[in-house]
Amino acid sequence: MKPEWQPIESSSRNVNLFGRNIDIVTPAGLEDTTGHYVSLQKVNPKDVKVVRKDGNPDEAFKNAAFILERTYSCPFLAHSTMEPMNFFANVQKDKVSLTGPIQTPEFLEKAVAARLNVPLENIEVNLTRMGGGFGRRLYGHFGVEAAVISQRMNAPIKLIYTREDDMTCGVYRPAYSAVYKAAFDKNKQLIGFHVTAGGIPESPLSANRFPAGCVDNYLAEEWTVPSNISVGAFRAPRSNFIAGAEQSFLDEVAEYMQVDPIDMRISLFERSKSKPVGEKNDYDADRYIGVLKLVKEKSGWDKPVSGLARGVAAYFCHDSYVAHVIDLIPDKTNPIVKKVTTAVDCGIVINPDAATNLSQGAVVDALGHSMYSAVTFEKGVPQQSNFDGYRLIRHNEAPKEIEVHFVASTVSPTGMGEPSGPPAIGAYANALYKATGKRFYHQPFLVDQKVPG
Amino acid sequence: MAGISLIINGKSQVISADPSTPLLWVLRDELGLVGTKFGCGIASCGACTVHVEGVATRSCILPVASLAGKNITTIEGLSENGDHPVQVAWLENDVPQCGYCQSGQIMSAAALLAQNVSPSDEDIDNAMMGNICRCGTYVRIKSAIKQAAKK
Repeated sequence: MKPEWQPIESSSRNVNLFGRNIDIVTPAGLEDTTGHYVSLQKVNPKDVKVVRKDGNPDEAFKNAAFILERTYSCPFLAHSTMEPMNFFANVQKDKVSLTGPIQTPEFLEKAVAARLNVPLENIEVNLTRMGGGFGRRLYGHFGVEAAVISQRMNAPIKLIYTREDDMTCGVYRPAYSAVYKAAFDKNKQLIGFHVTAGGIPESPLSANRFPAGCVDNYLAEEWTVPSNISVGAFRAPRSNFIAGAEQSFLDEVAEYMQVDPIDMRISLFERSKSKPVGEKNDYDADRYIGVLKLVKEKSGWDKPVSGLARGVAAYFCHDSYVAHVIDLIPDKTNPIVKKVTTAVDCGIVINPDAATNLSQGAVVDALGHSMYSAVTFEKGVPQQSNFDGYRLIRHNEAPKEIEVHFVASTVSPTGMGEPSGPPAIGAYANALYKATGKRFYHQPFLVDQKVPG
Repeated sequence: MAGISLIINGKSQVISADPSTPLLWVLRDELGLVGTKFGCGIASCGACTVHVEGVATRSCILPVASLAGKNITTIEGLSENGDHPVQVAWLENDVPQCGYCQSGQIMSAAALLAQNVSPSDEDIDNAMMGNICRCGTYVRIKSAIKQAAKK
């Protein structure tokens, strides 16, 4: 089937997103990846907003003996749940019965009530298990579509998207870009830090996260490029990009300072404990230090194995702290991920085996997308429609071993689905550098194709 | 037009579907064997894997016309009580997350072990690389296959 769509008019609406009122501008016109690439590279300075400023970053950068500057980017991604979008609907005169996998049954009920103009109490939603989700099943339009089709046909129907429909009618992970700058004095001490991040159509920045609070002169800025590409939450929204960028950049900072990357992070956190810079610093330095020390011990960081290239990263998101050390077998074309050593602080661990499984899965998920996956557009049409063109990580490409350790804790339990993914990309990029002698800035790392940013 | 006769999980069945229908949809829609899943429709993800004469085969692109008289095994027929060594190893390793790809993974693993009782890591990769797991349970799948191989 080759559907055609009515061109849309440019529009703007105000939405309440988890308590935050934001204006969403949807421009008219057919977008393509080449245009996205240009807009990510040529951000108008007028569109850049200061989100946080500590000390005097302008002065620090002006007086710097050396400035390190690096740009990072990632493309749009499709959720590609193995179970394509689907729903069963039976719309009868006084009863609407809906059955299927969805994360937001209440939204679906309300959307169907409004769309079919039936009272809420006549609608019944039965949940089935979800074949993956990763954010995709927050958006219940497929349930509404099933209901509309059932009403029109006056019969019970089961809707199953083809993989092509699923991949080309997605709510994609946005494309992001970030420029990091670090200012050093003549003793190679870090005196200023500046991040400018943005994306199509949202910014990935969390300005109060590390290294805010650890650097005297800190500037965080963000920008957005409006787009009519449909986007939505994708496992660890925003962190799924910014963590990898930030942690790769810090690896270069440590390299320039000629200090161990774990020791450098720990000394920054110690600084934020004894003499925090600014307010609202959004992390617990001790818990960050805890996962770094645990991963250092469990990976044998101090005793490097000859023939292996190692990278480290740590990140805090979804209320949990995760650090990884990734060991690669060096190879210019196909480095193999031999082992991932992971330290997690998610408070009290309720189900250690399931928590370990989730952590292992999040690592494979994040690494796979950073290696291979991208959705590109031409005249508004996604250019990948199935697993022949959109590459997902497979058995032979996955890490050979993933060892997960938990910090003993009495803190209330926090997130396990997301936090292990984002820092894995940073640890992987840092290990790739050790394995190949080359820094990797633009995802997907292992695919030779032009992507936004 | 006479229907095609298939031997599914040891039982002969006459199929009324059009001969060009892929086996997957005959299994799911006509026979109610819904353990075999639809993932891509182009034999690229492995969710629809069944055994045809013992060989792991993607059922989503396989017209039933080509299968007359062939022995087909689905996840429902792999063992009487869900106790095939691969299934037992899957449980002991707590492999699945969402579970959607897992019957395909199990069918590929069972076919591998039927031909190769002690596969190397490379043998496992080669036999399993056609099966995508979006939740990323690959490490546990490999452990489970090695455990099942010992039995």
